[in-house]
Amino acid sequence: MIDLRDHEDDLAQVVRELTDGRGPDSVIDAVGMEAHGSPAAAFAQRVTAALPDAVSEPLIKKAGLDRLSALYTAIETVRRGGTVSLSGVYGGMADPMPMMSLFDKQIQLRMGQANVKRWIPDIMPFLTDEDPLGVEEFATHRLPLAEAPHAYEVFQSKADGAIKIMLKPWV
Amino acid sequence: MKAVTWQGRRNVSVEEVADPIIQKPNDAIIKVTSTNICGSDLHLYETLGAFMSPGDVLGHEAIGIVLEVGKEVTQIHPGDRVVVPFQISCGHCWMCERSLYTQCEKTQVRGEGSGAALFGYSKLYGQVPGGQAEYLRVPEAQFTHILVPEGPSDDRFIYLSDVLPTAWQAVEYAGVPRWLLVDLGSRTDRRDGISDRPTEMDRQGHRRGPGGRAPRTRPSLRHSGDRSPGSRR
Repeated sequence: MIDLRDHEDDLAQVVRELTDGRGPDSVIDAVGMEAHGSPAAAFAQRVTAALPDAVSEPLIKKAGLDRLSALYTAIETVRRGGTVSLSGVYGGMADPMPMMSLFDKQIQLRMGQANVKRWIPDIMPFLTDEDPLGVEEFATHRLPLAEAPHAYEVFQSKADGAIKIMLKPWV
Repeated sequence: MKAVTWQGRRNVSVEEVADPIIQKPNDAIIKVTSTNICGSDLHLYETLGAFMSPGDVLGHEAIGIVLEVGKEVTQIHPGDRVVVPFQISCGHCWMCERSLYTQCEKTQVRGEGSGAALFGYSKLYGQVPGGQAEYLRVPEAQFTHILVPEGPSDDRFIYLSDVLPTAWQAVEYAGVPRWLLVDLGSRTDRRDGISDRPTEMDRQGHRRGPGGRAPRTRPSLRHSGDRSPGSRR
């Protein structure tokens, strides 16, 4: 694991050194546009995509930096002829894209909201008592639905270690 | 019933709203037993207010029990335990036949130029009342459901609504040809709300899941333990 905080400026280079000088075959950007913080201006245009936060797996995160920086980092880092997969949600209609790099590096870009039922047969076998995916302990908070305003505040501010909050309508 | 409603920027409230009823013959009504707040709900909470109306019911990660179904819904019955996918899809249109359920041509929000309608996700996605409520009306219920068994806690299955398929699709779309995945920049302080522990660093690669086909990579929701910054593994 490489900690981004140690490599804000030389990330692509560090990763290339670990991958025969080429960069990884694939990079997943699970960040998407920043869900909190700044740039309201970017949304003024319109929103084309929205949804899910991506939770796990291999990813590049640049939380707190400019909202396209994770995507740019992914494009810079992936090897020539490689694939960038976006599960983080993007919503800008006029985001500047480095077309020269994308074209020159021959990058495939794949994205979109999850087609949920497409993947259920693949995932279901992992939802067992052994819990290999860790779903049973994923929620950090379980609160009555009535406490939703508080729950949103906590989640938005990431207070109290909040990663996932489950609401219970009937308790 | 009680429901979580959007009222304005950084302002949600729990309000008493009308109980949902069967409006179309392919609707179902679900009694919600658990319902998550999603990171993308924060987009609505914070910045997408222009597309929300005060009173809109939020939420798109719900699990519950079927209370009632319309007369065309034969696939699920009252008493069944179901997870509700975040997107509403018919299951039989041109897009759905190609498993592109988020592009369902029956529920596409054409007036906004958007794909399939989504629960609780602003007028861009159909202004459909969401799942952070005691009850949920599920349109296109003949397909918009995931039947799950009785027994295990809601935690076992609820992430099928969004989180797990989203992670899974990201990995599938990445088309990882080898099985070493390197995680970049995960934080130990959890402030970004995303699980710190990405995968079980999938050198296991082709290991088969119980009864499942071999995923090249396997998303995990497990949080990582403490780890010194800059550590590698």
